[in-house]
This record gives sequence, C-alpha cells and structure tokens, in this order.
Amino acid sequence: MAIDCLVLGAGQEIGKSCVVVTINGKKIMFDCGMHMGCDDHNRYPDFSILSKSGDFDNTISCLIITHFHMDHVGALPYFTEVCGYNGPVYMSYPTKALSPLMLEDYRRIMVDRRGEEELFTSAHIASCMNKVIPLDLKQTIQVDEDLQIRAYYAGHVLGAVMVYAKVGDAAIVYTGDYNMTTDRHLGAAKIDRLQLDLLISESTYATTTRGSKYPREREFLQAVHKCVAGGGKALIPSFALGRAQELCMLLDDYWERMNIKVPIYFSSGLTIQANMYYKMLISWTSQNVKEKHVTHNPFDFKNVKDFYRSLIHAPGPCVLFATPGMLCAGFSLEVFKHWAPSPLNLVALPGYSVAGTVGHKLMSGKPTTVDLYNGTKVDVRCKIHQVAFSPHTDAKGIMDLTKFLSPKNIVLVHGEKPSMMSLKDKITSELGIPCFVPANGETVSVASTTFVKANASDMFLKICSNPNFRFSNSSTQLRVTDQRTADGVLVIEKSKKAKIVHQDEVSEVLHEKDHVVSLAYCCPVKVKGESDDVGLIKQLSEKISETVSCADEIHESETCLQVGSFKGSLCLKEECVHRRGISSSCSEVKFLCCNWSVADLELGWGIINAMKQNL
Amino acid sequence: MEEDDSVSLTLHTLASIRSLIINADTPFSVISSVLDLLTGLLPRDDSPILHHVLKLLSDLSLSRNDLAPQIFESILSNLLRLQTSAAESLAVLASLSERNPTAAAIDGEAFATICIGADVSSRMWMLRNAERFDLPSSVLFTLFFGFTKDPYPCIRRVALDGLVYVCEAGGFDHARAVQGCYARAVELLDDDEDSVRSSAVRAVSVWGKVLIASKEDANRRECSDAVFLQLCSVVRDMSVDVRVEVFKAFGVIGTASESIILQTLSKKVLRAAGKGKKPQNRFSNESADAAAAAGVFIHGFEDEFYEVREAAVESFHSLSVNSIEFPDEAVCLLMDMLYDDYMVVRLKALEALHHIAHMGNLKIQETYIPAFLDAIVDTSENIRLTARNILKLAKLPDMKLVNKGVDGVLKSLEMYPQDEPDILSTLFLLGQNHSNFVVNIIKRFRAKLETDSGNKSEFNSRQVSAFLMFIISAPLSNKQSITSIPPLAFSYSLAMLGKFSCGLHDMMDQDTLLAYLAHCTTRSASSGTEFNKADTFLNAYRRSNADHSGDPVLLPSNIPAESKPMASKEELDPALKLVSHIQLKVKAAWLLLQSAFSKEAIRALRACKQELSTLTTNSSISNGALGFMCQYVHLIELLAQVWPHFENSRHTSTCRSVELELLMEELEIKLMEIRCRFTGLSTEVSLVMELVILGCLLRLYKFEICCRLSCKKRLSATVSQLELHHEQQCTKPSDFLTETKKSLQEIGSSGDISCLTLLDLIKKFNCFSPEQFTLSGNLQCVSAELEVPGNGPYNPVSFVAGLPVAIPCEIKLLNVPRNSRLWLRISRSDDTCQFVYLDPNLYNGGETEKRFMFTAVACMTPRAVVFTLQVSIGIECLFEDVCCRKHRYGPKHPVTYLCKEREVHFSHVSRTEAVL
Repeated sequence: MAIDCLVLGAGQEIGKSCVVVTINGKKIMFDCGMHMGCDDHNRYPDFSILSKSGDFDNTISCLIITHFHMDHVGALPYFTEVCGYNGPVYMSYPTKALSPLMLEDYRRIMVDRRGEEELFTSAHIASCMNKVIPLDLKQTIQVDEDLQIRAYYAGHVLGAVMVYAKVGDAAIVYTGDYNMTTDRHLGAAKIDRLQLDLLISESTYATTTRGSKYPREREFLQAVHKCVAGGGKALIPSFALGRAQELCMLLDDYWERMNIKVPIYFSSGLTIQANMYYKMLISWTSQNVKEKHVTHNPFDFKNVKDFYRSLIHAPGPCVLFATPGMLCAGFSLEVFKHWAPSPLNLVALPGYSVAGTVGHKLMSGKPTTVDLYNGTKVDVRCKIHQVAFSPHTDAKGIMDLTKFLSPKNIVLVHGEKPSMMSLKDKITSELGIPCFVPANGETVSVASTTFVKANASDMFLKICSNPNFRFSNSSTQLRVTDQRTADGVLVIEKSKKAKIVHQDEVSEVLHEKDHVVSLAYCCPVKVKGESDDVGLIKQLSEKISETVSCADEIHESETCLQVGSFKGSLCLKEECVHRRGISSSCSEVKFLCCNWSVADLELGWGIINAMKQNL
Repeated sequence: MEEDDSVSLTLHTLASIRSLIINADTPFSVISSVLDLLTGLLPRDDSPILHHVLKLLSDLSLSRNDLAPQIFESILSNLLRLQTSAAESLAVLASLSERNPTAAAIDGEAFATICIGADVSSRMWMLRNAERFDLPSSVLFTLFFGFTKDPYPCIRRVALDGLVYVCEAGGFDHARAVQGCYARAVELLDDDEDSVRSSAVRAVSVWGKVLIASKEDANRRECSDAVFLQLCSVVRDMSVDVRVEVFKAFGVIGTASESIILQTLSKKVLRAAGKGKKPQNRFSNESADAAAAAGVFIHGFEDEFYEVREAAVESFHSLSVNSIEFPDEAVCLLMDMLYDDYMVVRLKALEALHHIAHMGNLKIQETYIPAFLDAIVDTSENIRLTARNILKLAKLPDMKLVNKGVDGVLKSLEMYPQDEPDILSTLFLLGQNHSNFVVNIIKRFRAKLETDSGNKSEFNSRQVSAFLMFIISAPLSNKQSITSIPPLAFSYSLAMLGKFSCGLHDMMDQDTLLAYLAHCTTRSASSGTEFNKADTFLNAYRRSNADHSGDPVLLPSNIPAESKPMASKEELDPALKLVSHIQLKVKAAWLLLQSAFSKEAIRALRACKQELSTLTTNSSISNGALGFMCQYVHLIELLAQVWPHFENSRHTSTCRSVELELLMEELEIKLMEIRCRFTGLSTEVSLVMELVILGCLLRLYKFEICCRLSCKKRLSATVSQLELHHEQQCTKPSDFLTETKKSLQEIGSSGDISCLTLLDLIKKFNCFSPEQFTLSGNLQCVSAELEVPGNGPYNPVSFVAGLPVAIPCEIKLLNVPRNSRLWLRISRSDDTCQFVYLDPNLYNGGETEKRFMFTAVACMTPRAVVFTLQVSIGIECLFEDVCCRKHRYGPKHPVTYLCKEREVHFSHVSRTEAVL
C-alpha cells in the first residue's frame, strides 16, 4: 500500500494551503485556503484535479481545516457551496467560532471596498459553517470505519491544530501552521511521539533561526515607549486576531510595570469581538494565561480603550491597534495617512507584509514618500519599527519536531522554494529522512506500513508471557536482550493465516521429522590378557570412569557401553564405514563402534581418547 | 479449632478466625493452632483462599509479635510455591521484616524468580518495592537492567527508576555494567512513552555521572561532553516532565566544554562549535556534535511551563558555578528571566545573578536596571533580599544608573520598612562601590538633609537614615569625598548609631562604627586636610570583613565541597575569633580616644578587659598570650586615662598634675612589668617598645625640665634598641618609630625640645597594629608563687626584737628565664624595705616549673609585740635603656613583681619564753 500526497496549494509557495492525502484508499483534504496575493483564478486551489466531474463527495472522505487564517480557510465556502462538497468538514472549536468573522471581513473588504466580483456570499459562509463538525484537542474521531483523526495543539493562532490521521496501519501528521515556542498568549505545539509514515510540515521560515524572544520583545516595547514618552503616537497596523492580542498583552503588562498612563486604543469592532472570543477560549491559550486566568482574565486589558475616528487628531501620545495589517487598506491606512508626516510618531509593523502593500514598502527601505493606492502621496517622516515576532516556527523548530516525531517521510509545504530546498537538504543529510518538496499539482507517493496479523500458538504464547533475559558481555559494555520473541518462528502456509509457533513446534507443524546430528567412530581397543568381550567392556568402563571427568553414569550390557548419548558396541564387521585410518590386521585389536550426539561432542571425544590409551 | 484441612474454608470461618486473632484474650493454645492451620493452608496454593490466609497471617503477626519470626519462616519456605500470590506474600514478608529486623533476608534468587514469573501488576509492585527487601545490589541491578526491556512502559519506567536507585545507593562500578546501563538508558531516551523518557533522562544523568567519574582524567572532559550532548538531544521533547528532568540533569552533570556552553546560548550553530573538535560519542551509535546543544538554554528560558524555566535557570546557575568563563550574553539571557511571571523563576534567576556578581562578572546595563528595580520592590521578601545582595556587589557603569539604583532602594525602604537594616547595609556598600559617583549624589542628599533637619516636624527619619548611611560610606573608598560631606551628617549618624550598627552588623560592630564616625566627624570639621587615619580604619574594617567571606547566600546548594573557601583557623575557634575582635575593638577605642572621646574609649577598653577575662584557660590560646593581651589592654586603658591631660593645655592645676603623675607612674610600672614578665616575645616586642617610647615622649612633653635629660637618654636608648630589634627580625619599623628617630636626631643637635614636635609625635602613635600581634603561642608568662607555710595571724613567726628573723618561704617559679635576677622584697608598712637576693642555683634548672624552700632573713625587727611584713618576689629588669638605681644594697635595676605580696605575721617572744 502507498500514501499519495497531492499538493493542490501552498506547494513551494505561501498561500492557498490545500493538500489531499490518500491513505490506503481514503482521501483526506487538509486545509482549503485562498491566495491573498492573487486576484485571478489562481486564487483558489485547482479542485478539478481531484475530480473532473465535480463529484467531490465520493472522492474525499473528509476535509480538515487547521486554523482560521484566510490562506487555510479562505476557499472553504467556495468549495462547499460553489463546488458542491457536502462531506464532513472538521475544525477546532475556536476555528469554527472565528472563521466566519475572518471570512466575512475578507468578503467585505474584497467586495465592498474594492468592488470585486463576489465569489461567495454571507449566506454561503453561514451555510458552509453549518457543515462543520468541531474538534477538540486529543479527541480521536472515527470518521468512518477505517479513518481516525486526532487534533494536537499547534500554537500559531488561537485554535490552530496539527492533525493526525490514520487509516489501517498507515498514519500521517499534517501540521498546518505551528509554533514551537510559546508566546504571550499561546502555547508551543505539543504532540505525542507517534509512529508516522509521513509528516507534512509547513516551512515558512525554512532557513531562519531566531534567537531568544525576550530581546525582540524588549526592542518593540522600548520603541513604543520612546515614542509615547516623546509625545508621539504609535500606530500598530495588524489583523484583528492573533498578533494584535499578543502585542496588546505585551504592552498592557509593560504599561502596568512601568506605570505608564498613555492610552492604548483598539480601532475596530472586529478586534473587540475577537477579544471576547479570546476571553472565552482560555483553554486554548498558553499555560501562563490559563494559570493567570484564575485571578484575572489576561484578555481583560486594563489600559485598552475603544478608538473613535475623532481621536485621530486628538493631541497627546497614544498607541493604536488598527486593522487591517500590512497597511493594505481600510482604517489603518487612513490613520497612517494622518500620522506618517510627524517625526514624533511610530509605525510598528508586526509580521509579514505581502509585496505591493504599503507595509511592504515601508519595510523594504526608508521611503520618504509613499504612494497610496488611490494615487495620493504621503510624506513619511515617522519612525518605522519592524516587530520581529512571528507565530511560525523557525527552521530549528521544524528540525526539532521532525527529530522528535522521526517519521519515515517528510513533505514540506507552505514555504518559499529556495529555502525549502536547503531545509530539504538539511533534513536528508542530518536526519536521514527522505524529504519531498512538491510543487502545486504534484503528487508524492511513499510506501505505507502494513501489518500482517498472525495467530500465535499456545506454546509460544505461554513462553512469551514471561521475560527471558539474556545478558551478553560485549567488549565494552553489558547488553541485555529479551529472548522471548526470538524463539518464535513465523509460518505462512498457502491459503492459511500466518502463524507464529515456538521453534520446538516447527517440525510438528510442518510434519517433518527432527534431524539429529551425531558422530560415529569405530574405535580400536586393545584386549589385555585373556578376557572375553564382557571383560573388555568392564575394563573399558573402569578406564573411562577413571579418566573422563564428566562420565558419571556408565551403563554396561554384554557388548555395549553407554555414557549419556554416547553408545559403543563391539563391532564385528570386517569393514566398518566408521573405521578409518586404522588397519584391522592386528588380531589383538577389537573394535568398538561408537556414536554420540552433537550435544555430547566433548564427552564423546574424551571417551575415545581414553579408550585409545588402552590400546 | 478442630477444623479439618479437607473441609474447604468458607469466608465465614475465616472471619471467625480473624475475630480470634484480633481478640487479645484468645488463649495461646488456640492461637498456635490457628497458626498451624493457616500455615498448613499455605502450600495448597488455593488462590481465592490464599489471599485471606495471608491477610490473617499478617494480622496475626501484628497482634502477636512473638509469632512473627515463625510466620515469616513459613511464608518464606512456601514462597516459590505461591506463584499466584507471590507478590502479596512478599508484601507481608516485607512488612514483617521491617518490623523485625532480625528476620532472615529473602533470597535474591527467589525474588528474581518470582519477579520474572509474576504478572504485570505484581511485577511492578515488586520492582517498586525491591529496595525494601535487603537484596544484594547485583541482584537488583540485574533485575532492573533486564526489565528495561519489558514491553510494558510502566515496568520500563520502574526499572529505570530502580537503576537510578541502585546508582545512587552507590558501590556499583563495574565498568561494563556502568557502560551498559548508560547505553540502555540512552536507548530509552527515544521511548514512545513520556514517563519512560523522563525516567531515562534521570538514569542517563546519574549513570552518566558515574561513567564520567570512572574515566581517566584525559578522557573525562570528552565523556562529560558526550553525556551533556546526549541530554541536549532531548531538550526539545514535547513532554514537560522530560524537559524538566533534562534541565535538572544538566545540573547533575554540572559541567561541559566551553564551546558547548557557548552553543547552548545560541540557537544558530556556531562555527567554532560545529566545525571544531567534535566530541566523539562512543557511547551510542549516532555521532553527536555540539550542534545538538544549539540554543538549549534559550529554549529552556522561553519554555511555556514555569517548571521547565525554573529548572533551566537552576541548571544554568550550577553550570556557571563550574565554568570559569561565562559570557556576557549569558548574563543578558538570565536578566531577561527577571521579568518572568513566576516568583520562583525570578528568584532562581536572581540567585544565579548573585553568584555571577560574586565572581565579579556582573555588569548591569541600563536595559536591565528596571528589572532590578522591580526586583527590589518585589512583593516577595526573598526576591528583595537577593536583589539587594546583587546590588551590594554590582558595579554600575554611570551616574544615572547609580542614581536610579539608589532611588529604587529608597523606594523599597518606603514600601517595606521591615527591610531597613539590610537596606541600610545595601546603601552602605553601594556607596562604597561607587565612590566616583558618590560625591554627586551627596550633593543631592545634602540639600535634602538640610531642609529636613531645618523642619523637625517632618523629619523623615527612615529616609534620612538611608541618606546618611549612603553618605558616610563615601570616605571609606574615596578620601577626598569627606570634604563634601557636611560634618552634620556624621553627627546625625552618631545619633543613629544603634540603627546603623544593626544594619552593618555583619561588617563591623558598633564600637568600630562609632570610632569611624567619630573620626570622620573630627576630620570633616577640620576641613579634611588630613585623612590618613581612615586608612587605619579601613584596614581594620577590611580585616573584619574578611571573616564574612563565606556568605552562605553566595554558595548555591549544590556547589562542590572543594570549591568552598577553606575555613580559616579563626572560624574554627571561637576564642581566637574573640581575640581578634578584641584587637579590632582596641584599635577602634584608640581612634575614639584620638577623637577626644576618652570616656567612651575607656568604657570600650574596660569591656574588652572583661571579655578577655571570660576566656577560660583551656581555650586554644596560651595562658601567656592571654596574659599579654590583658596587660596590653590594661596599658592602653591607662594611656586612655592619661590622654585627656595631654589633649588639654599644657599647664594644669596641681591636683590634676598629681593625678597625672600617679598615672604616669603606674603606666611606667606596668610597662616594665609587661617587658619583664613575658618570655618568647617576637613581633610583640616592637609593640611594647613603642609603648615605652610613647611613655617617654609623654613624660618629656608634660614634665619639668628636671627629668628631661634622663628621659631623653632613655628615649634614645629604647629607640635604638627597637631599631636593632627590627633589624634582627627583618621587619619594617613603623612610621611612629622613624618619625621619633628623626626628631630625636634634631633634638640631639639643638638640645632643645619643641613641644609641638612632641605632640605631633605622640599623635602619630599608631596603636596596636594587628600585624604586630600574632598570638604566636610562644608567649610565656613569668610568674611566681610565694607561701609561708603555716603562718597566719594566729600562728605568727616568733621574733626577738632587734635580731634578724628567718622567714621560711615555699617558692614556686614558672617560666623564669635563665640569667634573670630574682629578689625577695621584704617591706614594712612604713615603707622601709629590704631586698634578699635569691640564689640562682636554687632555680636555674632546665624546667619551666620549679619549687623550692628558701629561708629569707629579715633584719629589721622592730620593738613591737606583733608586726607584719610584706614579702614578694621580684625580677630585676635588665634592660639597657632602664637607668640604674643608686641603692647601696639590693637590685641595681628596677624590679617587677611576679606575685602578690604575702603578709607574714610576727609576734614578739619574751626572753623567758625564749629561754624556755
């Protein structure tokens, strides 16, 4: 069996995440995002690759959304309402709560502000959300008879999950976006050590290694503090969910500590609404917040107030969180237009800005004037600070997770091609795990684990129930092995189920006789004096008991002698096959034809030597 | 109990047996038959019943202690047959043997057999409780080592815990076993189960430690690096427990190469570490290089769980203890932890920083000052204390930061008045460490101080005392600063002496502080042109400080024993410590005296005398040394009494001059005594001689022309003698001596003595520099005992008036040096006295102690019915500088007395009686 991983989006790029994995015949779609940077048909993943006829219900077993960012959830209403997918959709509780907000906000910006063609309506969003089945952390869901899925905490944003999916014996993990270090309000990704055939990981920062987060936080705080201390206004354009809360917590704490009285404003209703969700979804936040929550909800910001448009020109310092991020449109851009010309003010840009936005222009150099979208120019004399926090893991985090999970294969998505390639090399060379970086539309096939069920015989089971240790002393160290399974033999007969039997049972099962290795030698014995055969045997027996130490019990019969498995009887044949290298010419010599089993190898030769001395 | 064995026992019967067992009145015969029945049931291995039987037996052993050995035996003998409930019977055995330590031990082989045959839950119980059975460590090791291969994770975990136990119990050091155990633990670091991994980490650390210890020195570093890196590989584990254990394990290993330590502080793989010498990991198959350690501590410090952060900070601390060089970035990382939300983490970080500060590596940058200021006003007392301790040691780079620091401390004083003593001492040290900036801050305080003192109603004593404390610390490290300190500050400080000395109790005692303040007051008033005495004080202060270098806060709990400073001799002996304290006190008293606080000085000196007298003779100080100390302190006390006479004008009333004369007389007598009565003086000689010189100077200064010549003569003789002594001992003459010599030469040429020079010289006298007093132990006190046997007021010696009378004396001499001249002084109350020379042959043996009888002849019998004579033994002071007396008979030199005067009673014998 094989696992096929078809990348519909976010292959060697960032945006419109969508991966379809076929495990033992089951197709699971992970994420259904849109590309923020594209306006054409490339905005959505190319679903037609999946099914030409558009019969997605029968092709896909389930769709799992990892978190509420547009590049992970953006195409969901389109896929369910426009393309007509009606199968189960899974997402975490917070994602289910926050996704409609994001989708609606986006739709409004695209349609109402930019006047673009409407790809989905509010009604679409609502009806698509009705199909969603919420997931909880570490809750195992049996999607159908064979398919199991389970969500693990991923950090990144509120409600972000990594998804474990298992069909039969084959298992994979799709990480979505994740963060390996904790931040103010979210914890670090947490997953069990699982036996995985495939790990599909994001790789946004495939080559970056970040230092400690504390200096970065401090830089940001100091930049803001310096600005407000100088009477300036600080503008922090950010999206309503995620970074806004993070930075706000940071500032709120700092304000308390330094006893600063400057107001912090939140611009839009969306952020206020989002804060409400954050306050409710405490169990999805970091340990720190959870523990503090007992006494005080950390999302009840003490110094934060609502912002009114009239306050833009109000005198005195302030800090303003304004949506949307990247200064791409809307209110944040409007405030920027007013505040940018003053050298006292500060614009702090958290996170990544897509090329083409004002945010990107500000970050890539020190422009003195910036063209806004509608052609107006703004003098930029304010200070620009780039906040260097990211909710994505860095390269070391990806390596650490990979090392921890040790999957059999890795597929990297959600990253830029050159850095993904170098990470791929690193994973292959350092960890020795095959790594793939498929482009959109490509499929990666890897072998999957299959287990064969076998019955075990009673004897084998009985022996296995108790440990059977063997200690071996190698040259430098003591080793221990448990031998109990080592005694088993797997027997696969035609048209029968495989069976494990104990090695002693093998011959019986196979209806074969046991073969025994034995040694034979026809030994010349000298007869002393006038003794008959019985006398000779007696003589020999005495001799043996004298010389051979381990010959305890010697049985004698008339012409036979037996010690353990060693048997000797007088050989009357003229030519014995076991008689070698000795001429039978001498009449004084009699022959004792001996045979003994391989277990008594030493004993046998000992007796032979003893008898030869008698010669 | 007539039950038949064949009858299957119902629970009901068992219940009635139980009631018999717990009833204390059941006759012994019944009990013994119950015992027989129950032990008879044991071999049947009838598991439903057996459980109850074992329970009953254990109850029985509880109620009848005398049967316990018998029960133990019977269970033990059936142990191997009891396959199904072996673990249960072992539990009974364990509890039995714990109560009766005499019971036979359980055979290790039997235990192992049962353990291997048992089901999972019993096996787990057995492995967990294996320590309770007195099994040989080899058996335990084999079992635990084997069961690390168990398919059940809970058993693997217990087995690993067991291995940790075996290792910690010690004594297991077969090289291969250690290696094997370590390797097995390393394998289990990759276990699927969280709990197994966390136990494996512990096992790796303890066995790794044993492994490291077993290596030769050359390989040790390599081996410890390998273990360290091995642990680094699990730092990014997803389980909190594992991460906590890993950081604790770093603390256990405690050391690693510098390149690795550097790498732990950076997430980027450092070139030097990555490409440099790769430590070969021979202990597992994969090759580990320093890259595995990348950013270990960064991850630890950023961890979501405070337990991990705490463990990380703590292990960071222990690593910093053991590595000599710890880079500055490390300190920055640690400082970030001061903003942690959790008190424990902040405290641990502060403790680590304190340690680094103690090593002298702490530079606090401006960025982190708010963190410290926060810590100083933290709600937790421990955090405040540790933060202040850091501030005591810290060196702040500029004025602004010092100001901030001082403000922070003042703020904390306002918020937490209970911390006042420690805050005062913090300010004192802060001021001392930043002497360059202090002057500026003093200016600031000065204004505040003056306004405050003007307005008595708003006198904020706490704040003012803090200001003062800061101010008065300044002259200690910066002599010039005294000019900028208003004398007012010192006078106020004197008023707060109690409070201050409470704060500075671990640095100096009240007397020293008083001396210092008094000194500063006078100097500051005299515009601070001369502040050399501060050095003296500083020396004394530093010396006393040295005793407190073993500050327990500075030493982390897990610091290796060898790195602790060797306990100095003084710490070991309280008596020696006391003596050295007394030396300091005497010194301080002298300083007080010079600052015209003679009454306080005398009081302090008397207290010293008293303290000395409390020292018993069996302490480690020799009697001689103790005696010397007493004498010396007494001398200084006399000087202190004399001193005010010289401070005042030269001419005083007759009454006072008589008093002075008497005091001087006593001083000279005592000086003589201290010179004569001690043998084995080494460096102390100069101490004494300087006092003699001082005595001469005082005499010269104060007294009339008549005795000047002899005084001068004596002075020059003493000076040259002391010079000779210094030459012989190769020691450096003190300033006082050289100055005196210089002025003597001037005097010699002119013949006239200027009083001012003399006064200057006198003031130069530097009392009791501790270098001169070593308490060498060679000091011996010369003494004598004199007894007239049988004599008393009712049993007088008979005499005939006018005729000499014999006094039979029993004399005991101690430590009398050879070639000394001893005299018996026989005196009468009317001051006539007679000396009798003691024949040296009587006492010039080699022994230190000598007893003999001597009959002294007293010539001067008066015409009286009864009279008494005082007899004492004196030693002639044979010093070159001591002038001769003009007696016709008796000693040519002054005599010092070695014992108290003994009264001898005489009564007149009538002639008739004599005849009779």
